Amino acid sequence: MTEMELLNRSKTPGGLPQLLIYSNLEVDAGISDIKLTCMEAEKLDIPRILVNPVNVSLAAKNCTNSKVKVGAALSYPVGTFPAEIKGYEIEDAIQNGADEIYMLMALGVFLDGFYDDIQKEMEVLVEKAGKLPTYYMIETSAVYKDHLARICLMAKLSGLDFIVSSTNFKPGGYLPATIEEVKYMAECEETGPAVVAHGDFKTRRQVEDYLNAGASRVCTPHAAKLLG
Amino acid sequence: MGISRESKEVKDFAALFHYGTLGIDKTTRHLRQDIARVLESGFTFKAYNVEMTLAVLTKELLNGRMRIHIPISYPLGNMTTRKKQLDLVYCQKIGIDESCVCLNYGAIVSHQYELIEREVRALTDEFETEIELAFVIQAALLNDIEIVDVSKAIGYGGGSRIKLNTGYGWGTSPEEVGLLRRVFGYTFDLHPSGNITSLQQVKQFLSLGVTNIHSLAAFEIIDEYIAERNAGFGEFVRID
Repeated sequence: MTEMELLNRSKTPGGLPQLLIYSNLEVDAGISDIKLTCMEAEKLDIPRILVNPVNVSLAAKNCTNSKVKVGAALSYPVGTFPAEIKGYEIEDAIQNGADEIYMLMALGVFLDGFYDDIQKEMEVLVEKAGKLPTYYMIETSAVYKDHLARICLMAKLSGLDFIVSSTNFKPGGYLPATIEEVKYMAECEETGPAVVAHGDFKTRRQVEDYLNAGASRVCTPHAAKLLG
Repeated sequence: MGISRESKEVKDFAALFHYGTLGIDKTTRHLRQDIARVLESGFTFKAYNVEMTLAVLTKELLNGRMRIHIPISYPLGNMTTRKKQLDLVYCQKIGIDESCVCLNYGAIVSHQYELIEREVRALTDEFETEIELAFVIQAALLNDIEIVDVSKAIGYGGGSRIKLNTGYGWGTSPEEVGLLRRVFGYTFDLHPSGNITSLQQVKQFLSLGVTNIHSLAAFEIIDEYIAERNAGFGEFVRID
């Protein structure tokens, strides 16, 4: 069964946990916080968590005996690194036990119009991640609508699996993508990869709104609480 | 007769500052505009701070006019030590003069100071001879004991420069600098950073023996200094 078929199958009543990614990108997350994230994800049947690179190794150890996949948020939250550095960072994360690779776009490079460089970093992500699922993280609210279509197309050409709509970094970060922006990106699915809505979503209703807009998955630091 | 931007006194004052083009949305257009302004001013800042993706162009545009400084693992050090090493290898390769490395904030607030010491040692041992390293502790988010303990760990690891905050909404207070001066004297070269926008703040830091000020408002502060001096009520800032 393909990743997309799995996603479609899980879009059924009662399947909400399967569509969630439980993020713990808190900068002060300690050992006990990461262990708790792993434990809650397993207990609530949330299949994926997302953590900072420095916590990948710990999370991987704590998820060894569960089905929970550990995602590594690389180049997070700035993304301002050359592609070759991003490639090394992916290798490092895989060595530390990451099951899924998230990589943040070099926003300034994109806004500069250096699309070849962006294409290159996407390709590095796909190549270095190998068989692991790839998530390309962008700041939707920092780009124009026609930029989104371009990003989706480039991502598709590069073979990326998912686009993540925002970093949800605070303070000083960008706003999360709106429902309309996610819908627009999802409509580009013909030309682009599946969309993950990422934000500070605290209620089931918010999550369902993004899923109804076409997001394939929703990533939130409140995944456990909203299921509880 | 008053002082002007061209005077030695003002140029010496400007030389206290780290200025630059920082932010994830900064493009080559922003960089070119900022550097043109710097070159036109005739100021030689202590260093020009820039994101890694813009480093090569910065080097080309400044053409040796001033040192280049790259921040690493911003803003809270959540990258692995290995990644920080890889970033510094890249900086070394392209000839960067100095860097500030954010220490793992999660480790600091978990009081895992041995991890901090190990990271500082790994980086200073490998890079200090070629790249001047400052370590960022994000003091605004720590209590006094944590500020002191993480600074001790930096010292044990061989670090000698502490940048107190990153910006990103977190700024350095004179109290934080004063605390480190009281406890450690002049063991560390202290670099205030974040939300420094006025001459009054700069004067407070200078009175605490600071000689490195990170501020994206450097031009505005310099203009404030000139205006104050020319109004006849400002004091000459002696820089030792």
